[in-house]
Amino acid sequence: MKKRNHLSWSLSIVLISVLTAIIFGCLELVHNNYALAVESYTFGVVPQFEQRKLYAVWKPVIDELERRTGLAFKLVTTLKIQDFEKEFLNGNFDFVYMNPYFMLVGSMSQKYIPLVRDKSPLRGILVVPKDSPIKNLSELNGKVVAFPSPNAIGASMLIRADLERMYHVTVKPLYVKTHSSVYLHVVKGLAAAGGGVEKTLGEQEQEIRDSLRILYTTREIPSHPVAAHPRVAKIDREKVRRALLDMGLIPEGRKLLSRIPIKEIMPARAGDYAAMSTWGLDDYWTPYWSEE
Amino acid sequence: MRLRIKIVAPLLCFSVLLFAFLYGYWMPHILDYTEVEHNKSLEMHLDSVVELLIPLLLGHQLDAIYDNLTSLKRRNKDWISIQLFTADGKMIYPLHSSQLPAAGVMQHTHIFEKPINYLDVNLGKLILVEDYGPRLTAVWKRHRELMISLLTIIGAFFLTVWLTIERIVSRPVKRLASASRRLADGDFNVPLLKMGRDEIGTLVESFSDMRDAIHGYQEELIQKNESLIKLSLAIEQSPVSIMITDAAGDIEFTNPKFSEVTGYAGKEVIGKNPRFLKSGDTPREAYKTLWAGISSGNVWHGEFHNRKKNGELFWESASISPVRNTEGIITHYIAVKEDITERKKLEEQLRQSQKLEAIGQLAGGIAHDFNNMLTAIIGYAHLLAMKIEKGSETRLYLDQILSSAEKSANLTRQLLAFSRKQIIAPEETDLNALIKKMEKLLLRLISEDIELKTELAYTDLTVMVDPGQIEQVLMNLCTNARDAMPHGGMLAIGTDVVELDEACLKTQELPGPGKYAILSVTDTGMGMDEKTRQRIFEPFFTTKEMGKGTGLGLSIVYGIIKQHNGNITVYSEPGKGTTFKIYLPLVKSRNENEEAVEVVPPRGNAETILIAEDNEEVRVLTKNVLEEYGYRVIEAVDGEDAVTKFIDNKDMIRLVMIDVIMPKKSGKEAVNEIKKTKPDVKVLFASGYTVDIINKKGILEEGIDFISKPVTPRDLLVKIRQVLDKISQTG
Repeated sequence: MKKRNHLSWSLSIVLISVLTAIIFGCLELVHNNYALAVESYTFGVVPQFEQRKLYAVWKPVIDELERRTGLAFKLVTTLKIQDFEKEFLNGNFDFVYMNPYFMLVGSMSQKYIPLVRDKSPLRGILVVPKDSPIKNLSELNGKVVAFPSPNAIGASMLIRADLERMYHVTVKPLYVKTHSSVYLHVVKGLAAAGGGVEKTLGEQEQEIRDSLRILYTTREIPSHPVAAHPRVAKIDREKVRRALLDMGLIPEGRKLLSRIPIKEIMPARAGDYAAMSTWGLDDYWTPYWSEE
Repeated sequence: MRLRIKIVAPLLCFSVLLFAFLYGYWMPHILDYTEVEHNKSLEMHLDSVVELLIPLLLGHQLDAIYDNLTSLKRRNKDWISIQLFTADGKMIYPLHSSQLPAAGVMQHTHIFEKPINYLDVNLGKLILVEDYGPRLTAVWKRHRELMISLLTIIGAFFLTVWLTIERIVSRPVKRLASASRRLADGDFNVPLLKMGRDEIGTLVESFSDMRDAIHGYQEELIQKNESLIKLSLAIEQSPVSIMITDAAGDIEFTNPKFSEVTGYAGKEVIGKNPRFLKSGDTPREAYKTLWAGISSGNVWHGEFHNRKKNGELFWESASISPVRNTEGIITHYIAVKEDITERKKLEEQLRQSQKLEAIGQLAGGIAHDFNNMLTAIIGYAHLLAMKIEKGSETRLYLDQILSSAEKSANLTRQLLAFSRKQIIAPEETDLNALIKKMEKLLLRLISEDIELKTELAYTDLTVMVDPGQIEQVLMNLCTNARDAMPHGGMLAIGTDVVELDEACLKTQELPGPGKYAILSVTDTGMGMDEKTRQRIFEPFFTTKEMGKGTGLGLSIVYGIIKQHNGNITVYSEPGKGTTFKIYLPLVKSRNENEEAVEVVPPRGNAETILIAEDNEEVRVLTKNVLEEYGYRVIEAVDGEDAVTKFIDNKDMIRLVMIDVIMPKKSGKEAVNEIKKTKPDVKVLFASGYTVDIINKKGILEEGIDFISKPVTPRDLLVKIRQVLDKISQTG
C-alpha cells in the first residue's frame, strides 16, 4: 500500500514537470514569433523636409514609439515625393505619415487607416517677399510661383486651384521639392511668390519668416495623419495610436511631436478627410506615373 | 679640450644646424607645402560640394542647398563665408551676404571660386572665403611642437650622451688622468677600481697593470738610482782624482778632485788625451809599459810626476783599470789617482828627519861617552886646581888642560844639543823680549852693510824655552844669514802667532794642535838649492870655505828647537834669500818674574850618600867632590852592589845617587829593591841621557829627582843639597 502511494507521487511529479516544460516552451515559441513579427514594421514619412532634417525630426519619435510600444520600426522615406507616392500607393509602408490628400488617394487603393493627426487644421498660404510690391494675387499673373510639388494639398493643389478658379490668375509653377525650398526661393527672389502652409512657415527660421509676407491663405484642411496599413495587427495599430497620443500628454513627447509638426495630437478618423473629395482637386493631382 | 666636449660639440653643432634648418627652411617650406596641399584638398572638397550642388540646383532644392552649405560652414569653422551665386550673378546662399573680417585679420584668407557647370551650362558659382590663419597657426603650432619635441628628444639624447660619456668615458678617464698625475707625483697607492669588462674597464685594468709594473720598475730604478747616486757622490766627493777615458784614451769624465788637483775644469779636458798632464819627468818607457799593461786587460799601478795647469809639478799615485762591456771588450779605462805631493814631501822630511835622528844618535852616543871622560878630566883638574896655588907654572898648565877640556866639553855640548841630549832649563820666556834684548848683540854680529829689521808681533809670545838655548839659536841663524850676504843685504827677524790644526800638523813635526809662536829669520842672501836645503841640518855639513865653519851651527839650532818640542822649516831660492821659521808652543804667561837664585855650592853635614855608578871615573870623581864638601860616601859599582850596600848600611845612608843605566840591575830596579827595605829613602837618579829621553823610554817615572851628566861639581852639590833638604813625602 505504501509502495503504491510512493509510485503515484513520483508519477505525478514527473507529469507536472513535463507539462510545465511544454507550457514554458510554447510560451517561448509564441514570444519568439511575436518578436519576429514586430521587427518588420516600416514607418514611411513623406519627404516634407530635406532628408537629414526629416531624419533628425523623426528618429527620436520612432525611438520613443518603439520604447512605448515594444515594437520595432524601420524609418523609411524617399528623396522625391513622387517616389514616396509610388511606395505609398503600392502599400509598402506599414505605418505612414503623409499628406492629407493622400488619405483620399490611399483610401481608394490601399485603404490606410488614419490613427492620429494634429488637432489644428492645415492652411495653405501664398507668400511673397516682405518688401515685394505685390499686394494682390492678380499681380502674380504670369509670374513664377514656387511650389513644393504638384500634389502638395495645401501648398500647391489648393492654391493653384484657388488662383485659377477663384482669381483667374495664371502663374508659372516652379516645383522646388520642399516647403523650405519654396520659402527660400521667395526670399532669394528666385520666385515672385511661393506656396506653403502655415505650419511649415512657422517651422522656418525667424529670419526667413521675417523676410516673407503672407499674401493669401486657403481654406482649412485636416492635418497630416499617421496611418496604418490594414495588414498591421490591430493591436499594434492601437499600440501605436495610444503611444502617440500618450506622447502628447507629456511635455517631452509634445516637444518631439511639435517638430513633425504636430502641435496638439488627437485621434484621426477616415471621415476627417472625406470633405476634400468634394473640392474638385483631382484636376490638380498629378499621379507619379505621369511624371516618369 | 675635454673628451665629452669633443664628442658633444659636434652633436651640439649638428643640433644648432638642425634647428636652423628646421626653423629657417623646413618650417616655412612645410607651411607652404601644407598650405598648398590644404588648398588642393579644399579645391577637391569644393569640387565635391559643387557636384552635390548641381542636382540640388537643377532640382531647385534650395533648402537642401541651404542645409548642406550651412552644415558645411558649421563644420568648417575656418570658413569665413561660402556664397552661392546663380549664373546671372544672384546670390542664393546665404540669406544675407556676410561681412568679411578686417584687413588685418584677413591676412591669411583664401578665396576659392568654383564655377558650377553641368553639360556646358553654367549653373552659377560657389565662392568660399577661408580664414587660413587658425589652420596656419595650428599647423605652425603643431610643427613647432614637433620641432620642440624633436629638439627636446635631441637634447635628452645629448644629455644622455653627455651623462653616458661622463659616466662611461669621462669619469674613468678623469680618474685615470688623476691617477696618472698622482703616479707622476710618485704616489703609487692610487685606487683603480674595476670598471666592467668593456674597453674602459680593459684600459683601467691595463693601466693598473702598468702602474704595478712602473711601481716595480721604479722601486728597482730607485734602488739602482740610489746606488748610482751613492756611486756618483762617492766619485764626485772622492778624495782622489777619478778619470774615465774611452778605449782610445780620450777623456770622457773627470771628477771635481781632478779639477782641484790639476787646475783643469772638467769641460776643458773632455775629449782630450791625458798626455797634456805630462811634465816630462816620467820616462817614456813608463807610459809604454802602462799602455801595454792596461790594453792587455791588466791593472796598472804607478806614480806620475805631472804638471798642473799653472805649471806647478805634482806627484800622483795612479791605478788604471780597463773597463769591459758585457762582451768582454775593453770600452773604457778608469784611472784613480791620488795627489801624493805632500806625502812625497813628508816622506822626504821623514827621511831627512830619520837621517838627522840617526846622525844625532851617533853624535850623541859618542858625545856621551866622551863627556864621561871629560867629566873625569875636568873634575880632577878642578880638584887639582884647588890644591895648586894660582900663578904657579903647574897651575898654568892645569888651566890649559882645563881650557882644552872645557872646549872639548863645549863641543860635546854642541853635539849633545844637536842630538837633543844636552841639559836644558826651560822657563817661561817672552820671545819678543828675548829678541829685543839680543838686538844690540846681533847688530854687533852682522856687518854694517846688513840692515837688521825686527817685526815683532803685538801679542804675548810666552814660550817655555831655555832662553840661553834660544839665544844660541838666534845667534847661529844670524851668523849664517850674515855669511849668506857677503855683499850686504837685509836681515829680518820677526815673530808671529799661528794656530795650527791637525791638517797643518801634517807638514809640521809638532807635538799637537794649538797656538804656536813663530820666530822667523829671513835674509836676502844668495839662497840655496834644493839639495843643499835638504842637508843643511846635518852636522858638519857646510857650504862655507874650509876653516870658516864647523858645520854644527844649524845642527845645533835643529837640535835645540826639537828639544823644545818645536819645529824649524826653511824656504830658500837661489839668489833670492832664505827664510827660517821656528815654531814653538805658546804657554800662558804667569806674569811672574822669578828672581834668579844664585847657586852657591852648599856643604854637607856628614850625611852618608850611596853612589851607584858603573863608570869608575865618574864614580870616583863624584865620591871625591862629595867628600870634599863634607859628605860621607859609600860606593857601589852596579845595581846589585848598590842594593847590597844599602841593605848593609840602611840606617846610615841618607841619599842614594844612582846611575839609571847600569849592569846587572838598572838604577830603577835597584831603587825598587832598596825601597822595599827603606821606602822613604831619598834617591837621585843620574844619567848621560836627558830626562825626557829617560821618560820616553819608560825607565823612570815622572817627578823623580834626576841629574844629567856631565855635571859640574857645583851643580852636583846644589842638587844633592836640594834632594836632602826636601821634606820626605813620607815623613
